[in-house]
Amino acid sequence: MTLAIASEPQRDTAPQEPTALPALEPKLGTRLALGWNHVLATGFFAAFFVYLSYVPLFHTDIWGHVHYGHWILENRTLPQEDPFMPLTSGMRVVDNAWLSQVTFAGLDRLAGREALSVLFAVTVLATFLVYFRVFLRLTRTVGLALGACGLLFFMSFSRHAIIRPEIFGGLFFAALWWMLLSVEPWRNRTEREIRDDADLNERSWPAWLWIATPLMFVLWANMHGSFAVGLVVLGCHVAGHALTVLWRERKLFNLFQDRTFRRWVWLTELALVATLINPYGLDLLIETARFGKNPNLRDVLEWFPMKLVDLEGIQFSVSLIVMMFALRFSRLRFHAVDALLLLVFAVAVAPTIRMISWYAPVFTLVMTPHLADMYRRMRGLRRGQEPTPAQLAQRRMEDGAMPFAPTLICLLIVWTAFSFSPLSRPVLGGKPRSAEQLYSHHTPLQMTEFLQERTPTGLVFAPQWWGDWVSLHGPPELKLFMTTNLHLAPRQVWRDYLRVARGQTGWPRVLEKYHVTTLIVHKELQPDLARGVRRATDWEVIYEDDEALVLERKDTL
Amino acid sequence: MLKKTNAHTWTRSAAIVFVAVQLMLATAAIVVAAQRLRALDARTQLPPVRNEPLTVTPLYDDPRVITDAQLQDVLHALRPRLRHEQPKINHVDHALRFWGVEAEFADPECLSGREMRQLLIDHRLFQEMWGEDQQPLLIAGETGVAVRTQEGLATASHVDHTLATLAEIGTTLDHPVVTDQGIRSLHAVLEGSLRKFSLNQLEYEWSALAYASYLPPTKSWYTSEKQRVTFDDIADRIMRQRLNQGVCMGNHRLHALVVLLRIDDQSRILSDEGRSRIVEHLADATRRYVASQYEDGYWLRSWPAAEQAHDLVPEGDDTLTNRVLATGHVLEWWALAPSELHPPREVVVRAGQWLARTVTEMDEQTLKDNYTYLTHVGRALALWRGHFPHEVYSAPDSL
Repeated sequence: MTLAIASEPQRDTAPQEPTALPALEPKLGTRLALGWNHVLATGFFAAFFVYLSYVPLFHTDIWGHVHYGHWILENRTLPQEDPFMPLTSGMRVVDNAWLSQVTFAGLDRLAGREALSVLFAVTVLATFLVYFRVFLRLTRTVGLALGACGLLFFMSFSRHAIIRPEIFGGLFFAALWWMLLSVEPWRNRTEREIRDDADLNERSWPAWLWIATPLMFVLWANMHGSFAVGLVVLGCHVAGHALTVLWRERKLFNLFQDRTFRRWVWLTELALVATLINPYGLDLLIETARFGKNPNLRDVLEWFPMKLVDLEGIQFSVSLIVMMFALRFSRLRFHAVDALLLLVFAVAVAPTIRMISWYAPVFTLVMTPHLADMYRRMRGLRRGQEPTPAQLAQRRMEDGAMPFAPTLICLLIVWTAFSFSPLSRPVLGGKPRSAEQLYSHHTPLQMTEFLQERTPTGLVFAPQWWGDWVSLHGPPELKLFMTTNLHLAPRQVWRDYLRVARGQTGWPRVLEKYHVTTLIVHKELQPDLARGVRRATDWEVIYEDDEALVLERKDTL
Repeated sequence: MLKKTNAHTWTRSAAIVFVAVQLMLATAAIVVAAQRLRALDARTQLPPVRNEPLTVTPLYDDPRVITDAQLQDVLHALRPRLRHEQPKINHVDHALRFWGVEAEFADPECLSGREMRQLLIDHRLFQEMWGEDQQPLLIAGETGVAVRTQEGLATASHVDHTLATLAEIGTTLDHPVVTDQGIRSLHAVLEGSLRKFSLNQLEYEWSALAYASYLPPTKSWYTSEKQRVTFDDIADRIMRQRLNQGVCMGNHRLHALVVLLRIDDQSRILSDEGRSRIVEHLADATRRYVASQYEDGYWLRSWPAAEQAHDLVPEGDDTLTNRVLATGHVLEWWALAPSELHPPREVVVRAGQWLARTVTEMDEQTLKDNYTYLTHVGRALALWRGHFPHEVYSAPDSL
């Protein structure tokens, strides 16, 4: 009997292909798997941040705000009158930017001037990031959202590079839009979509909106006077929605029955009441409303009416052209709210070019959905066609590519931007920027050093755009004729200032009237005065550099 | 159906409640805002004023400065022979200030004090003397009555000079003022001045005098520029410029400061620090005057240069007019100033005697050409005898 030997399983004798290993599932969520379009966006914002980080600190009103902030911190109270301009004695100060000023001064004390530069960069970047998020929600496409950011930057270019409390106003404005988007479901929908969505107006508003909005307005009212613009936005929503309902219902009482209208009214009133939480109460609102009527402002460049040949005029004209195309070709509904917003803010820009700061985001926000719709029609795309990051990650995995490669590149870009910016110096080390790099080239650095050594006695006349810097960095006992707080100057004082600043006839008599003993002239921007003082026999030049001329009165008797 | 009806009723109720609440909120907001606006605007309303002005009386009587006879001669030379066609308003209001409303003259060429005042505040008399073609001296408007100033011989010479004159001679605010638009009161002239006043207007010396006379006990008010102004601020404004700047070699400013001090004695309008600053300023001015007096007793424009004054006289500046102007003015404010601000008495005596001699030696034309400055001389010399001019003047028997 032959025993069967258990044999090993038979194997093919020919060599075989190795079995493919199963694909590994990522441990990280696919939400973190960004796309190449996100790389583009990250690169854009990283470059923007680096650019902002190196924008020099401007030579004008920021120093007045820092000075006020230091004063508030030292005296632990708000100033009743301007502490640095003796000629404004008796003129009441309603300081609607006190919290911004304290922030600037606090940061200056803690971390120096570089910190102000970082604050500026971070705040403006945050503003644009919030807008990016808003545009992304409106367009659902990173590329289009980036394009909208670019449009916004173009429209607000003339005012973006100056650090002042307005940057906080800009951030709050962006945040307001981001919050309101949650209750503006109509903003990027077609007429049919709005009609088909029966619950559109019935959805309840999120609870956080009722808390976050007034809280933000409390902060805003204490940081910058632009809170009024936020109230205007809310007011336009009330009025626009009212128009929509009235048009539809044709009955006034039906308007009050409309739940959405009532919500807008409550939200606006809540925001308005929130703005009363400030050291001045109702006076803050009254003075903010009256501020633009101050006659002194008529002579200040940023309060001039718009001219189409100026930069702001060009920006505005471009916006009108874009608007016309959008009205013609967009399939999206043009809501009454948007029409009102555009009308109100366009009317606001016409007499005062500084309002372009607020018109720009309003215009971009209103137009972005329409421009996106036009773009998609041109490309034959449908809305929502762009794949999600998760879908893109899945595709990359299927193609054998690294699903998180774009994410890693984004992180690298962020790190690179960080290390190139001054923000990294406390962490990575490095030389701080020189004064010439940190401050704008019109900052009178050397002249101020001279004043420190030779302290002027008596009243000092300097151009108002240098007044804040000189007041802060000059000798502590220095008393200035005018700073950028020119709205506080009595009308006669301001008229006299202009006469001298422009080198008009009679300027010596004006200086005598105020017993000005030291005169500072900006040679480039005050050529007539510079010529006049050189010819004057009772003024002696005691300092001169490329930009500044300092003179002292010869006879002080 | 019932559910729909219930929902409809609920919506309707909610709307009614909403409207009611909104009406209440709107009403409350309007009331509160209106009250606050009224309170803010009230700050810029005119301050309360007194009908009868506070006045400053002479303090000293020193016959060494000027004797009785000398004083009569000076006053006689400076009597207001203004009864003719088109008397310069500048002369009229200076003469009124000098002589006072009580003054009467036997000389038919002279206007009495009342007539001089009438000429300034009654358009009918003004028109009678200046003609119907002349623009009115008094300009009536919604915000008060203004006095036409620095527009020629039929107008006042300085801002608020007429108002200050009327205050200094004791005119009450309810005194009628006749304009070409109707009858108003002196209160309207004060109102017009207050509404236009700016702390940094070019001339403010007479405004300061007028306000010091009519505002106390009010110590602060708001100007049309919404600036809160106190008498301390006005004093600081007066003291801000170089000493000899301003009308009449800076002496009107010094005079205004003295009046502020004297009014402060009657009704506290200055703070202690403000008063100290004024006293220090005036003491410094006195010291410079003492150091710069010429041997004969007069001064010139260079008086602030103290010991160097005589070396700094610009060419052509040493004229009789300038000597009279400087000397008469300083003597006048010294006559009203507290004694701690006086120079040594011999300084005053030398000045008084020089003025007495000089005025009585002047010919008619010189008197006429320098009349406004000479009114200060006459007033100063009378004050140094403890009286206002009208109280001591008695016309010579020939008149």
